Amino acid sequence: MRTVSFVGHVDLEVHGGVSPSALTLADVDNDGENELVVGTETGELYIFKGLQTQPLCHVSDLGLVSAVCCGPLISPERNTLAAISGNGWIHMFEVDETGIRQRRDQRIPANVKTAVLSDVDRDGRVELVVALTDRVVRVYRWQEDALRAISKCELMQQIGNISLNVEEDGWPSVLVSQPGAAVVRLRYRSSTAEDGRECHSVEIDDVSRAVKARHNVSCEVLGGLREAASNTYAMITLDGSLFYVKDNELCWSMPLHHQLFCLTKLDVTSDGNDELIVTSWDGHTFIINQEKQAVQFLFEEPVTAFAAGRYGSGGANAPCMAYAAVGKVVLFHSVRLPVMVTETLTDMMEREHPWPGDAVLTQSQKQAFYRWLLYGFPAVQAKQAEREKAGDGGKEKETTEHPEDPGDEADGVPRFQPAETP
Amino acid sequence: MKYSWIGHSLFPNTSAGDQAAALVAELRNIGGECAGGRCTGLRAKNAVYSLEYVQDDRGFLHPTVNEIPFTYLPEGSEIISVDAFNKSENKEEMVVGLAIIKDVDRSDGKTSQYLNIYSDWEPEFGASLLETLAQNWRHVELEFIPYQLQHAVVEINGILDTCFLLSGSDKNIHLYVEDKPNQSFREEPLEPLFPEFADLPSIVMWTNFYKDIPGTRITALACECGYVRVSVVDLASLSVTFAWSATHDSPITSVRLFSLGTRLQTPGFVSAVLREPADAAGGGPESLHLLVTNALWPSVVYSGLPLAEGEPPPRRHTLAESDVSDVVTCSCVCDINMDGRNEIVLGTYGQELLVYSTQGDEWMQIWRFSFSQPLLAVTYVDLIGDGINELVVLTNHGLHVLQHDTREAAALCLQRRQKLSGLTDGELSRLLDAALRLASPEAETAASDTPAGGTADRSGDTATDKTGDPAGAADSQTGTVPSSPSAPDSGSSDSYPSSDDPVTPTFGPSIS
Repeated sequence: MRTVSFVGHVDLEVHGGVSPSALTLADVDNDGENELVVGTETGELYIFKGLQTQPLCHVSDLGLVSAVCCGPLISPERNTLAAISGNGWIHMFEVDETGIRQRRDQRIPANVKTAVLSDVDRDGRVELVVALTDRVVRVYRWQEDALRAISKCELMQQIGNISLNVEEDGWPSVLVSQPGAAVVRLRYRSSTAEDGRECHSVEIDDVSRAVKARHNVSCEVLGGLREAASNTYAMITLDGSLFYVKDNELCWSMPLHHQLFCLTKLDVTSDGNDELIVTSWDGHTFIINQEKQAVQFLFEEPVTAFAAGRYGSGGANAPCMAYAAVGKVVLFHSVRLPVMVTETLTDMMEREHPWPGDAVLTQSQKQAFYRWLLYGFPAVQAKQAEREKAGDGGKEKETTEHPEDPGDEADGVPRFQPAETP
Repeated sequence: MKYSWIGHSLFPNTSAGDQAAALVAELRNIGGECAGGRCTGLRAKNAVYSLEYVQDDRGFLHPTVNEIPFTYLPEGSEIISVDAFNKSENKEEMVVGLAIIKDVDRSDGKTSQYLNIYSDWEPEFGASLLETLAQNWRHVELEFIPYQLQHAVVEINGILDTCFLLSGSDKNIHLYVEDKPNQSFREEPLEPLFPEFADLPSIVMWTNFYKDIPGTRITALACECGYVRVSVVDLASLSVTFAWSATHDSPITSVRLFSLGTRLQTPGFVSAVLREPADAAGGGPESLHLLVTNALWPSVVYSGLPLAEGEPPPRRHTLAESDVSDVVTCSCVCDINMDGRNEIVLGTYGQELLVYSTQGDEWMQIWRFSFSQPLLAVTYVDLIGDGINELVVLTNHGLHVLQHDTREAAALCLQRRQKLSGLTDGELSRLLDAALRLASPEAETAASDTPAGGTADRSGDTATDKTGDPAGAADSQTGTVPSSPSAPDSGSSDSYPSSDDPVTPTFGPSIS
């Protein structure tokens, strides 16, 4: 596997450890550029913007922050930042250029592990979906100036993470990972009953298709891959396997030989398709496209949390990866790869610009020919140009012989033997 | 063709965090095909790794790194410098030299130094070249601390032989030649063969040879105290005919002699269909330039070096901002943007790669690139073996290979292929095919020589001297193009004696 290196990074100092879900990239201040939000186990919440190493905002005493998420939770026009602490408080903030304002604090059941914001029941309003360490997935919606619980769903086993997906019928679903590479799909429906009360229902299916390797190995699931067929998801297990499941069939799997804990997506090649970003506790990061081509990057420190996404550094959002290590968050702010796999020039020529010479020349002759075109050709050109400039006879005829050539380019170009000799 | 690159980073040993400091200095292309790919030696504290690219069945490239199991690299020893060359022009006969210090960590400071030389005297059938090589070991004990290890072709008793040149802490250069009857290497007196290395003021940090002028060898050397000397040696009499020197205020990390134009022999099958032989357009000798990279001050280029008494002194150009990112540790002169003119590539300890190009009379920085580690060595070679060079950069935590964007390079190839006259691709390939069939022996050798010629200054130099330059000299004398357009019959029969076939009326007489 090819190893790549990313150079541009900033080290951001934070106080306290970072939980896996307490690191996110989102547009917190509604200016169109994403910021980095970090919540720590000592109750600090930091918002970093641009390449500044000092936080834009800093809030303390929030308890053990176990999850942060950001989205149009309260009003559809602007994003709200929600920091959820393990002891059962959800702190909601609004951020703008003047600073950070606490919108509301609310008590919810304790032990929230991870949270996502999305319209899961397709009613046009955003819900907050939280997964708890006690095997429960709860859904809240902002109503009458508070979060109201609208659904509770208890699962058989411990939850690894939750991820959003879109089903074949276009309906959103929530994928919940369960130990042993199992996946449970939750589909929420809301309707209004005759007496005006809202009814909420949830469909629960086991959609596990990956090979169940070990029963108790924890795992993470990721759906909603861009440009993948709907109903596609990827899954990692802590013992180092990556599975790619498409239309309820295991498409491919890949052993990665590291303790994998985080699976995210990011388009690092800018081709419109999401790549899978898999991170291990020891800092090995694998970037794998949906055709199973992989490169790796080594972050040389133990990682406690990881986020990949787009981040505003200097004008526009660029692909970025953030690693939480001990006492700091390292943000690689321009994570771009031109291609995932590399090819030889000779193969590229055969594929992109085929010509009959491909069949005539052997591989080593092609190599010599292309080498000469790249490194020997301009010298010939320059020398001929010099000679022509020096007024050496016998050259002027050429331009007349080849009137179809663009004049400036035809000059000084080595030619093949012409039909008629002077 | 601008600078868009596909990066590969290679960590020889991902688990070794302490390897960072250990990959110390130098990288050089060993050259030659080995086991399907090219290989580069890079050294860690006491291990040498080889890298090759393997193509899978889908055509994608995968880099693989292996440790070369060189014998006698004991624990606690440190490799100071490495050099390699190919003894034979037509087959693999590689010689690798490693200058090592044993017992680096001994508290009483009593270290011992060796020059280990590995060579496949008796190639085993079936074993890989590098493995056989690594087991065949000879050594020379050194009385001094070794510095740069170099090689050069010398004539001893009428036989051309490649020898090692090792700079030492005793302010001398030492010459080691192969002692064939005893299958070992022995030190020979330096002065008769290399008179330019007399009277050295301090330890020689770097030497560089320029061999493209027939009958002379031009040697640049740089000393620890900042002294730079360029000597012109007449190879017939082995005497210094002219020397030019300069003194800098800081230690010098490298010196390189170069000309602006690039030289690449046209493959035989291509020149056969060219209307005029490209190699014949040699012209007079180009003026010579010297790059001096300084440890503390900006690096300098001396343009138009005087090569004989009475010539004007060289013009001195400072490479702007070449001192801003720490010490310039390494340099390379190569045609990185494929415009037919050499550029200067500098690698710095401040994790930057700087590229300078001539614009008019000035050297301007045209590109810079950052790395995550300090740079130690840089070279521009065809590691993958597809015709286009890669920029190989050794940092103190691994090797980075920057591949040109193959899509852009392919577009450039296409553009230049189309520029080759107004012929269509079909006609071009027919011509090439015909030329190949007519001149198959010549084409074979040309095709096998050309990729090797770009990789290292191994024995190919002599071949270039013999073949390329007389033609160029003749051309410059006559000032005309001695080729087939004016005298089709003689020209074609000279190059292709086997051509008796009738002539197609469309594409010149020599092609059937």
